[in-house]
Formats: sequence, structure tokens, C-alpha cells
Amino acid sequence: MSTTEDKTRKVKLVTSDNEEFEVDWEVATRSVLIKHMLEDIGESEEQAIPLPNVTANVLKKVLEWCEHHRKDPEPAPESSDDNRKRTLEIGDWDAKFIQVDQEMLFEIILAANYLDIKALLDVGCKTVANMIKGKQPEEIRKMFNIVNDFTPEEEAQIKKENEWAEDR
Amino acid sequence: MTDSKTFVGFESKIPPEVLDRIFGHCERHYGHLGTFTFLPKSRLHPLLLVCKRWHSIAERRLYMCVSIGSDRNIKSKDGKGTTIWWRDVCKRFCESVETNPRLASLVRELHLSGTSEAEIEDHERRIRIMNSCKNVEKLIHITWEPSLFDELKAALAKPDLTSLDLFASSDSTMETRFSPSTLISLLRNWPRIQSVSATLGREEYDDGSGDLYLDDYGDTDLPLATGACPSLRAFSIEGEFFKPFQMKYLSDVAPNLEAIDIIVHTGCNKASLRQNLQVWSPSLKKLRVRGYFPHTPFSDEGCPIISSPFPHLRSLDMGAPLINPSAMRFLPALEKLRFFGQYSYGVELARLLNNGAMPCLNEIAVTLLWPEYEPSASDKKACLDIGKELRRVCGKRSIPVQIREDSAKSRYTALMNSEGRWDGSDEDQTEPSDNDWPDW
Repeated sequence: MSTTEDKTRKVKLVTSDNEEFEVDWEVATRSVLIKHMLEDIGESEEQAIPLPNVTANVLKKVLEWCEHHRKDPEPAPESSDDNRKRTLEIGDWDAKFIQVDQEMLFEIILAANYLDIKALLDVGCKTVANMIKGKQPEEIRKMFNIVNDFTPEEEAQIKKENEWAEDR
Repeated sequence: MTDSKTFVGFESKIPPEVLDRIFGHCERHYGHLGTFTFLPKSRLHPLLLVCKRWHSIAERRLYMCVSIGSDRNIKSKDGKGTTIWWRDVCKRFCESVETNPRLASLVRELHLSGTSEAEIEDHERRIRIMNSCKNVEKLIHITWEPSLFDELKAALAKPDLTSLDLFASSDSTMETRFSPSTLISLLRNWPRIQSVSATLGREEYDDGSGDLYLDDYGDTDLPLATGACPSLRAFSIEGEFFKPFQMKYLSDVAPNLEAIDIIVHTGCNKASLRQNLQVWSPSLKKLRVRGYFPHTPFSDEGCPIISSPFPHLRSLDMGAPLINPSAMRFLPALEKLRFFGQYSYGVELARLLNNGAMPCLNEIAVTLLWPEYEPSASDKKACLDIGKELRRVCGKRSIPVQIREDSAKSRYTALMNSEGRWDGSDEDQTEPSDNDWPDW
């Protein structure tokens, strides 16, 4: 539960490339990881939170998202039913926010995963899912520069055993 | 290799659990309003063939929950319309799991249905699928073939189920039936079972045109299985009467039930019913007991069937005389009440509510029945006044109330028709939108 004092508090974050960001507590705690770290260190305002897995340019982008969503309600714990309610819809602001190059898209996804920001992670994952939709394996490989590591025999075997699930 | 400024390797940095999350968004999610849709997760199919890393994640997702039984019209790659027949999908899937035990072992959730045109070999094939997929934990099995009774029973006994939804109605002859006793005799095979829901009896029951099946013989040969299903929390049977001896057996096998939904014969032994219900009094949260038999009302003997505290019961759907308002004092945690009975019970219920009984109550639906076939004008007025009083006391406590008046003439129809959802039903009827992938 956040207090009024918390909301006016500033938090220092240090990225892997040693850049320091000072942000509002409410913005920083969109990240469950940061929230837990702040709880661990207590009231100490001086102590900076190290984020060794996030670079400054990615954190800047992530914080932009957190700033925009600072007033959002806390996400409910995930349940298996969530899977059944998923759609590929992304809000207008999020859709514009995530219009980045592929490198940044994957970096945002990785950062959201590391920082435990489920809603941002879903924006990234839905964006990739939208990129994949309706594509054939070869098109997907080309899009993400993935090497086909199947032998022709393996590929034939996979096709055969999963024929039941194919739209033909 | 592409140069380092392009996106080489970006995707490969994504950990498997995030890739799995992406694939989760790729699946088509069908909502359902009353009817299920039984289609495989075909959108995962292209992902299987991208590379070995994607294959292992997509394969796990594809087989984790398999749903087969609906035909589907799609646009084929050449733009023409085509139908994917469930029977063909079922054949191919059966072949895959029978020839590849590793794939079969991945299946944890299996939804099997079929159209009414299903032939005996289709039913046989579904049983073969069940026999191959030994790790299934959640099973939905819709429609069956009575001539394959033993095979279905044996197939159901094999997996260590946690959840079963079974639709096994029989034709009007009821020559071979999947009875409640058959179902509960299987429980001992599922030590982890949490939820059992079955629609049995005559097919006609589904559309409300047929009576429930009443068998006169006692199934006394149920296997001993005391405490075999400590995790069973929810149990419901539609379409057949659940007898006190079956309830006794269920209470022995599953002493921790939290939700029960059954239909009892109006002539059943109520004292026995009460005694068996009592076993679940520490755990029961949701109770629905409907009584039915054409033109045979319940006698008061042995009623009400609740006569001691059920401290955690939150939802009750039952009529008089199985329950009466004075017995409701044993239900301090009740939040939702659906009750039906004669108008005289309405007086008592209004008084009880006015005195602050059932303090947690936040929803009431009451069906009040005229005392006579064709009541006199003065009786009618008295009854309407009772309805007004009920509304007043509920209004005073800000409890939303639905009151339905009914006549003796149609009371049995009312009991059977009252199965429709009432406001505030637990079930979410909102249709989650399908994701927006085009069919090709």
C-alpha cells in the first residue's frame, strides 16, 4: 500500500552503462522488481537502485511508459484464465509507444521481463504476436533472421505428426 | 551471417518463458455462450516449423490443451472457402498420439466432442485418444456411444484426473446408461480430482421435454473408497436423480466438498439427505439441491434438510420444504439466496430478514407459489402483499431482490425452468473477443 509520503518520494536508478535517473516513486514502482528492492532498502533516499540488465536508452523508454501509466491500478495476479481472455488489442497510446525498431522492441520486452512490469511485457509480446500473425515459417525466419536448424527429414516429421492442427 | 547492426540474435535473447508468453498471444481464444467450441490451436502450427527452439515451446503449448470436436469453415490459401471436419482432425490426432507416445504424454487437458452424426468408429477413436494420452488431468468429454460403455468407463479410470466434465446422456430407451453410481464408482481412481460435473440421464432432459430417469434398484456394490478424493471441491450432476445412498458414498469419498449441485427425487429419504449433507457442513460454500418428480410434491417429513450450522455456506439454491426460512438461521455467511416455496414461507422470510438474519446477504431471488390451483381473489391479494413486504425489507437492507409469483398449476414447470441464470450468476457471460488473426 503506498502512502502520501511515498508518492512524493524520489527514487534513483542506475543503469548498466552507469547513467543515473531520478524518478517519482509512483513511476518507479510500476516495476515490481524495483518496488521490492525499495521495500528491502527501506527509507534510505540516497541509495540508488542498480539495474545491471538495463541500458540507459532502454530505461528511458521504459520510464516513459511507466510515467504514462503511473496512475493505472495495480495489475491483478495472473491466473490460468488470463490465457483465455487474451486478445491482441493494444491501446492507442501503447501502440504508438511501441512503434520502435526491432532491436528496441526486444530490449523493451527483456527489460519489462527483468523489471517485472507485466502490462508493458504484454504490450511487447502482443506486438511480436501481431508481427507473426498469418505468416508462414519461412517469413517468420526472415523477419527475425532466424536460422532454420531443421533437417528436411525433421521438418517432414514435424509436419506429419502435427498435421491434425494445420489449417489446410 | 548478417552484420551486427541488423537484428541478428535479438529474438534469440528472448528467454523461453517470454517466447511462451508471445505464443500464448498467438493462440486463438474462443469464448462460449452456453456451447463450447472444440478446435485445435491451429495458429501455433506455423510456429512449430520456424526453428528447434520455437518448436519445443510451440509444441508444448499445442499439446498442453487439445480441443477437438467442432467443424470449422475457413478460407483456404487459394482464397476459397473450405471446411475442416472434426472427424478428420480427430483421425489425424489419434494417429499422432498413438504413434508418438512422447507427444501423447504432453497432453494435460483434453476436450473431446463431436457432432450428432458421430459414428461408432468416431466414438471408438475418441476412446483410443483417451487411452493414449495418459497424462491428461482435465477432461471434457461430450456425447458417448452406449455400446462402448465398458470401454469408456475403462478409459476414464486410467488418467489421474483433476477435473472432469462429462456429457453422457442416453437415448430414450435408457437401455445402457451412464448412471450417477457409475460415475461415483470411478472417483477412487482420481485421488487428485477437484471438480466433477456430469450431465447424464435421457437426452430429452436437455431440452426440458423429458422426465428424469428413476431407477428402482439400489446400487449397493459401490467400491469402498473412504477419503479417496480429499481434494474434490465441486460436484454436480444434471439429468438424473442423486440418491441418498449415492450421497452417503460421495460424502465418504470426498469429505471436503465446497460446492454441490444435485437433483433429488421428491420421494427420497430426507433424513438421510440431511445426515449426508451434514458431513460437508464445515466446508460447504455453495449448495443447490433441486427436487423434482412430476405431480409428486415433497412431503414435510424429515424437512428441512439443514438443521445445524453451515458456517461457510455463501450460496444456496433450494426450495421448500427442503429448506425453510427458520432453517436459514444456520447460514450466517449466506450471500446469495435462491428460494422457492409457497407464499406462507414468504411471510417468515420477510420477518427473518427484517430481524437482520443472514447479515452477509447481498442477493435474493424468490419464487413464491400460489397456495391453490386457482386462488381466490382475497388469497391472491394476501400473497401479493407478502411479496410487497419482502421487497420492503430487502429494500431496507439494500439487498437486490427478484420475486416471481407462480401458480400451483405451473409450479413444477417453474422448478425446472428456474434453472436459467439469475442476476449475479457466478458465471461470466461476457464473450471474450477472439483475437484478430485472419483465417487464411
